[in-house]
Amino acid sequence: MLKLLSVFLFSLLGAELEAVTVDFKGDSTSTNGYYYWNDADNWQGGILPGTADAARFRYTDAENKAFLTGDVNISSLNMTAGVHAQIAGTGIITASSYMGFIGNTETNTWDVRDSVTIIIDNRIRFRAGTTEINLYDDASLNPNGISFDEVGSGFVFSLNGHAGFDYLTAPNAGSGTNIASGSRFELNDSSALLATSLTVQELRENWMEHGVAFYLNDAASIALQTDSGNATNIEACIAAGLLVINGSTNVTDGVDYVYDSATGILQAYPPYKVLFYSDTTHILTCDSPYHDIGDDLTSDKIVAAVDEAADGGADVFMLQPGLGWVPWWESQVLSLSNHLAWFRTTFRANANYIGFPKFVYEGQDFIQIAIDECRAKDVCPFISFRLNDTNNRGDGTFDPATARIDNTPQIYYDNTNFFLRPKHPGWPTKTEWNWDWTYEAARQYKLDQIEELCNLYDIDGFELDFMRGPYYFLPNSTTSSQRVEIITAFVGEVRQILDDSTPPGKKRWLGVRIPCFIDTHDHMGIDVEELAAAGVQMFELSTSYVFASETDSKQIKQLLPNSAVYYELTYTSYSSPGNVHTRRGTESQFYTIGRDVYREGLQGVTLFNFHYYRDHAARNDGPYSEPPFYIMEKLKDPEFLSSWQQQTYFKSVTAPDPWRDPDFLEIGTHLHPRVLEPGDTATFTFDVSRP
Amino acid sequence: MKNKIAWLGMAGLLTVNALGLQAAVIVDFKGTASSVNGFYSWSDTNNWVGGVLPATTDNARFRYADSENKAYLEEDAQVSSLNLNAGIHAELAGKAIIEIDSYLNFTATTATNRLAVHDNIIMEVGNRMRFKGGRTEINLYDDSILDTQVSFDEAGSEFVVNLYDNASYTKLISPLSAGNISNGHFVLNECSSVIANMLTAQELYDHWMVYGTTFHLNDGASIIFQTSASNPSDIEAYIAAGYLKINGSSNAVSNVDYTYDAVSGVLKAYSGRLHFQALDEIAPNTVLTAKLNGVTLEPSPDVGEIFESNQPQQMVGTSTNTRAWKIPATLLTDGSNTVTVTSSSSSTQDVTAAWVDIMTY
Repeated sequence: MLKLLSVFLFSLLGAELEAVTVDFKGDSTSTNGYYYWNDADNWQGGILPGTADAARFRYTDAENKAFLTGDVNISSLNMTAGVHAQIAGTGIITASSYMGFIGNTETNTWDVRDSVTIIIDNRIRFRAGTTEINLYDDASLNPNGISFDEVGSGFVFSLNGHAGFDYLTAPNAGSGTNIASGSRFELNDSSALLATSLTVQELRENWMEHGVAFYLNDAASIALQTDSGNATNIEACIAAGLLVINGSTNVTDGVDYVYDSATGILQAYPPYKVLFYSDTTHILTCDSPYHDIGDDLTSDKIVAAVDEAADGGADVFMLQPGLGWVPWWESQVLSLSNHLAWFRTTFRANANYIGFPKFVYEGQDFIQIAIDECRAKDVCPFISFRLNDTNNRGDGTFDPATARIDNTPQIYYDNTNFFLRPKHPGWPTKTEWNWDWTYEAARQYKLDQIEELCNLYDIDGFELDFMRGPYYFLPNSTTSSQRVEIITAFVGEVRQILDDSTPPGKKRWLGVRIPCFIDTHDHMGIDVEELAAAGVQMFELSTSYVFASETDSKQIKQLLPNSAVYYELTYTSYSSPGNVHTRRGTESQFYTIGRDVYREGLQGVTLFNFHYYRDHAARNDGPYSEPPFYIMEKLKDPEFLSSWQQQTYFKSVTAPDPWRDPDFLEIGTHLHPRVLEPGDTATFTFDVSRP
Repeated sequence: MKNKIAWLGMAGLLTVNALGLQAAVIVDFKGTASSVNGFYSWSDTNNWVGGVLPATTDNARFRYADSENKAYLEEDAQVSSLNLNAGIHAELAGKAIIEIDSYLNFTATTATNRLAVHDNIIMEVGNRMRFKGGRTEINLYDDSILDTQVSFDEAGSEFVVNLYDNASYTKLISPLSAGNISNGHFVLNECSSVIANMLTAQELYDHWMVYGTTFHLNDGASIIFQTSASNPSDIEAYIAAGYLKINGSSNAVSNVDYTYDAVSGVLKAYSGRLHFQALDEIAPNTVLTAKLNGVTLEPSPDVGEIFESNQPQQMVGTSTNTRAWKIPATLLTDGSNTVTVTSSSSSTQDVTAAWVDIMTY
């Protein structure tokens, strides 16, 4: 009552304001159960806390839910004992002094959600008891220090989603001795803790040795002050149980976590075991529960495509937006408006976008829709970019009647000197339409698009898809070292782009989708060890279209002991020319391979083209069914797979030349046809690993 | 009639409660309220006649229409006994343990009783399972487990216990009143198992087979015996006598059609085939022979898939374009295995291979 009166008097007399405590008591306007911070009626006394005031939460949990719609400035942000307060919305709370918690035997809990940033100019003050601070989504807590003012001050900082703590220093004035045992930092998902003023040794001395444990889960990270002793000190902290990586203290650098000595970022290693690809085209080409063939693209179909992968258990949703020629996003590299105008002038006056480019041209952003749904479904969004795709290429590429608006930008039309011509002996005809990557401008066009995607979208990782298509150089015109130098430098530039576009304290994964047979790498300029050194952390080994039960995955993993290597599975283990016959993948095939994947030390599997169990427009290769999304959970379970009894080893022995998909001749040579003339013997080898 | 029974059940419960007694009563399941995938929640009182769950001292009973006898256990349950009236078909699903302190009773007369157990249900029967004449079928699916002893309380007790997937029947020991068995079968499919580690092969014969019970071991299914030096030869003898059938055969050969591990006492049916599928029809005068690691394989008529697929499949082998051979259990080794397929010189066609696979349990 006195407080209320004091607020009233100060206001009435117009006196210079002095700090008062204003209590939040949400009972007026609200949104989704959160009461607006900027509605004075949600504050005791009907007055918003001013810049010199202390805002306080003291009432029931239901009344302590504040929603921010803009920036606010206060003196302090306080919570009384046993209170559970929550803040959501968008905006910055700047407290010029303290964030204070009055705990005793009861636990204080503070949840911060959405895009709320809390800046504490002085420090967070913990008192005896336990305080839980949970940061979700993109919430950020930026204190200038932390003090533990009473003996037995306990805390749990839990960071989730993309939340950030910026930044952590040593506890104030030696107050670390007051920290209660059991206190900890729990970093989950892609959250990040910035401790760039502390080396690992200092983190240990100032926090861990006062009983504070650090849990680094999923792909969460801690940014440390760089120090030559960090790497070994990290190992020591893990061994001592002070630093726990994905629940384990039996972890290995480069396998379960990565420490980047250049940036000082310690990050839990990708916990992803199943990467699920969506090149998006299936959404409009397949008859599915959310799409009838012929229907237009709508946002709910994109959401449904994410949902079915997420619900099945995918860890990563690998979105492939287009073919890498015409951007399927609102681009400054090549605007869809300019491209349409040029295309109409050059090829067809009545040309129009269809499908995904049309969706984007009409102002919608399917990549963002997919990312938003990934976040909602707790699946990590990646973008996979096709580097040299020749899908839909052929003699009609520049024919006005058949030229395609979605893969023919002006730079492609104007630079026919970039093409891989003359055709290399034995290579498919379509390789004449691939770009020769000895041309810097050819590479730069791809880099420009990649940079734009990395800057535009909040993704957890980026993949370079070398499989679409796997021809970049004429072998007779380049040396092996030249090719490796060009590809490695290109990948290094992408690594830099990815790092430069990543929010502070976070690190994005870089992956490459490459052939699973080592002897196909040389002509592509791929040296996996060089790529790892250039910053690639994830290697997705592909058989292109069909999956096989034997590849060079074991040998490649041996070359990459500190990298995550994945084995590609698709919807089919055999597909004859023209897709006349298609043998769709079965459980026993998937699980036999899955078991061996983990035995070989690989990180997990990818699922590519997995939607094509469904009726795929213009094909007649049924019977069709819903894809077995449920296998994803099993493929993430090495224990289940190790006991899998039904073993299937197979050779997809294709029939007549050329290999069903001439884009991938060199992979096809590993699956070459066997024709038995009378009296002939064909030999097949099976690499078997019995249960 | 049903209303009367319900009323009587309710009255019984009321009486017991009013007197503060804990005497066992019979509580009938009658799935009509909340359900999960067509199975009615065990823990929903409205799925029980009288609106009361059976207590740990009560006897739960299935007696109504098949569609009402499907119970879903969300959590563990405990009853005194579980009874199936004559001719009843009951099903249990879910992920829980049902502890039956006394009996699992099957009241069969001329009509067949059936009990199907799905998912991860574990049925622990404290005393025993009682067959009372007539025919009873028990089907265990998925990862379900039935843990019980058995008695055959009336003459003419006929039974079939079918196990599928990874289901297990544990605690198979000598039955009570085995002389009442009329015709019994344990049919183990896929990777299911019967744990009979209190019995040697000889004792399994003495207590079961000799009373008219046949054991069928298919695909990767197994029986775990008490180890005994004579088990291998006894197994051979019982196969030859038709008491033990391996993949349908009484000519099964050790280390070819089945394996027996003398250390663990595990008898396991083996199934392995090599398929060779041609792109086109294989002419009758084209004879293909196959070798695995240099050993000539015996042709098999089974050219189709040996594992079921949940998805309809194209390119399932047919007798016109596919040849198959049996793979002996010991021939396939860890590491590299070489398969050769040779076309007869008398053939008049070129055979183009499309697909070659090895499938084994």
